Amino acid sequence: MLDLGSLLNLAMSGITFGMILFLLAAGFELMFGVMGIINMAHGSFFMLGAYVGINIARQTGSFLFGILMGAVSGAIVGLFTERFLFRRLPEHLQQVYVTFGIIYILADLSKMLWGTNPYVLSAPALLAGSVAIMEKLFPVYRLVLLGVGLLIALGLWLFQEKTRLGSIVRAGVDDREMVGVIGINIKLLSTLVFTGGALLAGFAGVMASPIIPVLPGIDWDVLTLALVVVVVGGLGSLRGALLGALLIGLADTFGKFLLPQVAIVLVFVVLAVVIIIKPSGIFGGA
Amino acid sequence: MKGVFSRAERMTYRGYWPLALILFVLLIVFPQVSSLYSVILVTEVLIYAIFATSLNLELGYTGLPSLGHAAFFGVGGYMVSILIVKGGIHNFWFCIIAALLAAAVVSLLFGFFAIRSSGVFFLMLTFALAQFVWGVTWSWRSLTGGDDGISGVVRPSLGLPISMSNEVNFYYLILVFFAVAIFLLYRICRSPFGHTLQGIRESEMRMQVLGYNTWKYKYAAFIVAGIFAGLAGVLKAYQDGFVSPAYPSVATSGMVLLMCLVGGTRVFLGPTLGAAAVWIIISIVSSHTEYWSFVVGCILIITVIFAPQGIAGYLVRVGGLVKRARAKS
Amino acid sequence: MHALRVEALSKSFGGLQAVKNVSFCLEIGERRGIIGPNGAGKTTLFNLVTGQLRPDAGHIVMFDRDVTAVPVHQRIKMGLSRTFQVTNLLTNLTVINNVVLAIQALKSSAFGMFRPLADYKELYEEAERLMAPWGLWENSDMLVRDLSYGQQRCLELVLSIASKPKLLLLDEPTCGMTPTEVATITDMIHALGKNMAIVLIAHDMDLIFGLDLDSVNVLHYGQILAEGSPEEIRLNSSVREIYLGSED
Repeated sequence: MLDLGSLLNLAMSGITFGMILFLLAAGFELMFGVMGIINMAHGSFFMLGAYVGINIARQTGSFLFGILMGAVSGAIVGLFTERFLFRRLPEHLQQVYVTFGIIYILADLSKMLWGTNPYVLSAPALLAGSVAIMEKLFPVYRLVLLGVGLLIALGLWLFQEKTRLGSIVRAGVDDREMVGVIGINIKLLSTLVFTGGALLAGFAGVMASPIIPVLPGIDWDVLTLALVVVVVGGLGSLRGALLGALLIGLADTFGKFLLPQVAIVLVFVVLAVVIIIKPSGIFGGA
Repeated sequence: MKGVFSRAERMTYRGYWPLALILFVLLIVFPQVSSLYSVILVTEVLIYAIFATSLNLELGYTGLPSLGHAAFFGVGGYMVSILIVKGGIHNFWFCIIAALLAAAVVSLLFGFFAIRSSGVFFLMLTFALAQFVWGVTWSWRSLTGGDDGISGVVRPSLGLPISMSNEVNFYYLILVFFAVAIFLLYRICRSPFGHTLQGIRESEMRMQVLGYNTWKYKYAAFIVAGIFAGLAGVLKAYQDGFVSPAYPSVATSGMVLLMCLVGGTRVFLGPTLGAAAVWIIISIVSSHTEYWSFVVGCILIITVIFAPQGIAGYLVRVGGLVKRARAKS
Repeated sequence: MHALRVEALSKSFGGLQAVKNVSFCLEIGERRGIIGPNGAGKTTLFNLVTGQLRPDAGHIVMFDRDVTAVPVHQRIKMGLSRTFQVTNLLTNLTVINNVVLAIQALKSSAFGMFRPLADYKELYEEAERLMAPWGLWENSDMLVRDLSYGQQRCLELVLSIASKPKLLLLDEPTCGMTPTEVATITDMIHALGKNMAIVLIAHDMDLIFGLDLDSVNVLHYGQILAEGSPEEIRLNSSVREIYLGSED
């Protein structure tokens, strides 16, 4: 049977995986809330960040620099997409289609540049290994992920509640049209949000690379998970992103352990339950 | 009778029947003068045309963008494969009808939840629901073979002295299905029901205030679209000789959505055109490079930005301009 | 039996009370106007009556049946119809298709999937009858978005009477129109049957008098300020005080 140590470790895995999902979902929710679009390319930004980050880290020997470049690569593609492609399109749905096209483009670009073999990044020696907490062993890197995730969640919360820009973003999420009417530069806001969300996705990609190998196809897998998290948590809600991410992270991890044959199904069972009981998601308002 | 068609519609309709006839004759004659590769290619195009036109009933006519249409494609394909390979049932008509029924049941179930939403919410819900189907095909190894899929789907024997293993014969079978399916979908689109769907696309609230129970119409459209997608899945399974989780995957849902957008969602034959264009381009590109995905992505983005009404929409507009120019001179 | 009975109807949005404790009765065949300054809650009241909005409190009774919880399309089946202040037409469809869809809405043939719509000749004949007097039949083939604003408002009205309603809500039907166009709409409303109960939102008293309505309600900040014949309302001092719209 399962002893407490293994149980806690599984839970830790689930929660840290959930943190990665949160980083993804947060950017996704903001993009939806402020811009009204589903960024289909979100998984692709994740993948791009991972590839770039891993390669840079290997070449320069600096893990931190890899993280930075991974995040930046996501941001650059995001900025380009918003500034040059979205601006030409009046309808949200058309913008969503464009992000769909980007999936296909980035998938091949990645294959071209980095081939089809899986890439894994070894965590720097400092963060490798395990540490004992209350007589149980936990991998250090996962603790770091947990810490980073919580820090960013806190940061986003503070940003939304305490800063002027943050309250504008929150207002944008609540009522897009009013924000434009008040005279806030909605174009600049959209650019910021999309670039920021893409940055978070790229960042998540690199941060996840020690535990999630990156290879072709991961863009669709990650997109699927992000969409499930957002449907479960509720579109347009950061709280939903956090709760949904933790739920799905735990469901996925425990699913893989308890029912390795049907691991995916547990995630979709959670999805099904939420859709049946509250189709707009746990914290969803629509 | 005056007033039935708009100027634009009339232009395409009067040209439609002769054009369709010419096209059909070409399709009949074509295998006699082409390579085996081309015959198989066009067979696939015809199947994808059915698939895409069924999606357009939701997307172009009702205004519901589904990212989960491959779910029904997958249900159709798997049902037929399971019956043949696991069940040993080789009666062609039994298999098809069972598969269509399965697709109908799944769309009845999914539609109930999905139709409550619209726009990007609908996109996401249909995506999530289709992922179920994908998840099941991936996990339920005993029934679906997991990620290995099910192989050994033999071509149907129709009790005729011709073998369907011959690609040309099979092509003609698919051509018949294509003609019937497209004709049925065409009738549905021209019917009162089809026009009501367009009204709902334009303004659902207006239609409700006119007295339409719009939910009922959207639900029916979802189910009809699902059944035809199931048919496409059946035909594809017969053609491939196997099914795999790729059938109900989001990549397939995306591909068929792409075909509609590229071909044009506001013209009935748009999705057929899109299926032909996209599939043929992918085939040509993949024979030169493995990076066909890049080309497809660019085509989609270019279409959305520069030709939002797709190829067919663009042709209709050009045709209208030409007609106006000729009328002036 | 009353055509419409509204009892203690209330609706607020967030902190804003749009409609507050509104009650009134409408007899069968009665023609009533509702006036009030912008933001008085007139359109919200209509949205509540049609069912597009759910009230926070109160009841709506149509032809002696409580419809407060009844969905929009079923109220239409009972004989209700409305026009919208902001033109709400099926813009990318042709004029004729708009009208035919309006006519067929309550007919069972609407769900037919096999015969082309063009085969239902009786729908097109009915459409011609509705459209011809107002100069819309010549424009059957045009897309609605290519019509002039005045023609669109005219079409709005034609759509609303296609179902032969017994209770018609007109939301500022002459909004933004030229005097000639206003005359056309006035003629159209005059031509409507005597059995049709009408509630008409107008921004000023000119239309009220032009249409010779039976009674008028004045709405202010979501509440009924005054109720009476057009002449009584015109002379009502508190109405004149708060309402700077009409002046004779």
